[in-house]
Amino acid sequence: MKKMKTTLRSLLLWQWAIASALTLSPVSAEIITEMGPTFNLTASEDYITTPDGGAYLMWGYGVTGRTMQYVGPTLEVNEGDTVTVNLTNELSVPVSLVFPGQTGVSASGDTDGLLTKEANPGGGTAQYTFVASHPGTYLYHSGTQPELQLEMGLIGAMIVRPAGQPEGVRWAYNHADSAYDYEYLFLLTEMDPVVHQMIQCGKANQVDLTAYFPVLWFINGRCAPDTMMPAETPLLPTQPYNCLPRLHPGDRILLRFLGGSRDYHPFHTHGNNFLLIAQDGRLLSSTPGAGADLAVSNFTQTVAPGATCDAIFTWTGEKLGWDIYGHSPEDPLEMNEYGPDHGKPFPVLLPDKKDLTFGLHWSGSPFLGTMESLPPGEGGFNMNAGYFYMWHSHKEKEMVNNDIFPGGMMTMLIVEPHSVQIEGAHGH
Amino acid sequence: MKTRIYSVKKMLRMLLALTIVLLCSARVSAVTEIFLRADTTVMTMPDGRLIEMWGFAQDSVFGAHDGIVTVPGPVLTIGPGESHLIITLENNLPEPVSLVIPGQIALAAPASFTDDQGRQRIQSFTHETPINNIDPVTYEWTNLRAGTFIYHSGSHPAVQVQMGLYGCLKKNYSNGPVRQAYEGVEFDDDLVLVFSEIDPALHDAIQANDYGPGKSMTSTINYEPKYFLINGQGFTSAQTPLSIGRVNDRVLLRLVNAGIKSHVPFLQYLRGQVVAEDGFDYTYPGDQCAIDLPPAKTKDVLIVPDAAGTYLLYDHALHLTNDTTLSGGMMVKLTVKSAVPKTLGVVSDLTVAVATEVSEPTLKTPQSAAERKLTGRVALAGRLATAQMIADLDKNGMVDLNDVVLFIRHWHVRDVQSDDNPSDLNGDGLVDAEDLTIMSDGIRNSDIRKSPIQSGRRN
Repeated sequence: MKKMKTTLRSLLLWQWAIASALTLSPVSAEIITEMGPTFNLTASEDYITTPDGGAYLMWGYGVTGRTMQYVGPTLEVNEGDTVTVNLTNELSVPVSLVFPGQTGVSASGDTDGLLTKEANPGGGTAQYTFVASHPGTYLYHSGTQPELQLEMGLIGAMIVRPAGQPEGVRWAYNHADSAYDYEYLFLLTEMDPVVHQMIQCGKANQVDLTAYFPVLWFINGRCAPDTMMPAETPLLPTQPYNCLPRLHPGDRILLRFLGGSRDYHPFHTHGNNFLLIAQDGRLLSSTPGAGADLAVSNFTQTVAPGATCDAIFTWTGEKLGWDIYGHSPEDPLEMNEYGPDHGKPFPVLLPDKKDLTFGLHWSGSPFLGTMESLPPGEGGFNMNAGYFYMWHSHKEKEMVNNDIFPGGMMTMLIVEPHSVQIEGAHGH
Repeated sequence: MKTRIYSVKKMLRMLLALTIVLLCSARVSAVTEIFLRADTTVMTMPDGRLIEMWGFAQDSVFGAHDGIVTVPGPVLTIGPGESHLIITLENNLPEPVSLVIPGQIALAAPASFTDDQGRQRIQSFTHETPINNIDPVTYEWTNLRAGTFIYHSGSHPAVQVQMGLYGCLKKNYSNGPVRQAYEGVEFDDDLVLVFSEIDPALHDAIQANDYGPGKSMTSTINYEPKYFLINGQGFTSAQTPLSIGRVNDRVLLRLVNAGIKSHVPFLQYLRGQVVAEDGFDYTYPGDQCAIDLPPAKTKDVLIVPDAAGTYLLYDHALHLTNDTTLSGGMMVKLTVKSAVPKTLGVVSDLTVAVATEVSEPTLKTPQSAAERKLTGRVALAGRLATAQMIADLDKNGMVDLNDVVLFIRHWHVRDVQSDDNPSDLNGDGLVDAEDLTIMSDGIRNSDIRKSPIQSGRRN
């Protein structure tokens, strides 16, 4: 009975999350960032919630004057910027910042830590400066007992925009091979609630990280289905970032993957292969200037802890063997349509509606952008008659929230009809 | 303390002999023989806990027992010209052991046993060395390739590898004039970092003879390591940093995972070229800072630090505890020294004039190893004037036989991790023929002929 209740609850949450993702406005689609090159961050504690009903104490970074957030604010700078991060510590333990992938970082602060200068508890400060010498996707995190403080939430992403990007286009690196239409963040983390409960109960000295056993998995600080809720929803005040990749057929989307915890996460993109173009903030080039000529096509990207990688993904329905728009052969081509399948009929004779059960994302029609009538109470999750592909950790056990499926490290890719506007990012 | 008197003639004869041995070993491709002994040892964890380990010791000859049992086992350094390797094994452990080197081709004869249901079960990847063997048991590789490899026991590996029977074998593609790890992969210094873990539960059970069928611990399925080691040590703040040479040196990190968990050696504020994996070099090295290192894998990472200082290398899978104590585990500090050649450092005020003269071109920061070598040559131009000072190893104001004895004692010691090897006269990390040349020059200019001296104890 209890199990049934939980399942029903999970289902309702799921339904509500996706519905709200697609109906509430604004549906922020891309990566929300804080603009540099100077950042004022404060480390403090607060709670996050998980879709299974859990609430957990976290330590996190936040923009000074705002709440802490999990994951930390995504910092955006330009290649060549001298980046300065001023850190204030409102935690009860020392804290600091390190910038994986960067070189020449200078630090000042209250005390010498093992990895870097630290800010003392209770209002102490530290300052970090470096030149963002290369474009790309990077992590930042605490350099103070990272084995504990990353688990507690002191981690975030940093994006360095390329200096050589021509006007009017979007590049991840200084080469057209990294061109994209929309970008999405996948900062992958996991959590063992026991650690958080021990800290909450003042038993930090009893935390045993060798017995670490995660049961919650996050993308950008949220577990599915919250990953699909709008960004900055007031329902999740300390978890502002969602992860809802959307594209039109033929659009190129940039996927920025970051490994933010202890475990490897093999992230799987249903629907098509991606092209891995960069690792740890460097384009996969055979020689400088050769572009991403060493790019690898794949459908699961293993994201190692502390590592980052970037991939380009696109989808046109190529080689499905039928026309996704339901065209007749004499109809004109849609933008980015896969020509050889133009006008080819849908290969299945759909049974009568009364002989079917319906998935939540079924629009009533197999064709992109076409909605047809459904029995009362069916469907309803697919507002634009798009195609939904589940994207998730391919360690299938990570697709749960405390053992309840579906959840965890998962979200949906939506292929939207061309008529749907995909909202751009906004910075602060 | 035993003392001996050495005659000048005898000393020079020894130097000559060393030179000949060096020249011969570089040219003749013969069988390389290594004698390993599997034995028990006790390791002290950073929190004081004693763990019984199984490890390898390198003896001078079978049965000699003059090696020290370590975990990881000794780094086996094989010369570029040595492609025929025979490792002789002695087994002082309570069960049969063996030796395999994944990535190196060998004829293997897996050993099996018949279980209580009559099934043939493999117990070893290759032939075994019985307990307390009187006769040497050999393992042979006739076409040893260059690279970085793990060697480990091929018998009952679920237990024996965890117990500590593992180590690193490295072989360069070339040793001169510039060292190459793989064809075209040049480097100046290298550093082996072996990652491994310890779950005390197994070690306690083995020590109490309580592991096996019908005993309280029947398998290693519940592996939960408590100690996370690099080169056999969990990090403590008291740990001495490892020196990785000087600014603009090309340093090859040989990363080896002998553990059962995946680790991600992570370079804080350094980046490296991942040049090889499992002893095979990449066509296109990747520029990374987080290097994923699954169990039994080796990766070679070339770093060229452009600033002096202390850097940290740690596991970004965050195995950074010694049991439950934080700020431990898989972390090492790496120090990079400034680019001033070492030879100037030992020159005393007697040769200030000369030193000033030769230091002029070295004050510029050398940009490459080639340039560094050029700088070295410039320094050598003044060698007749300075060699006498440099060769005075014990700093007693003259080059005498004590200095020669000191020099010989350090012969062929490779030590890139310390600046304190007095016999490393040119500061390249290895006491070799170049140092011998300097030493000879020093002797030539000295009044060594008049000074019979006492030498210290020789090992």
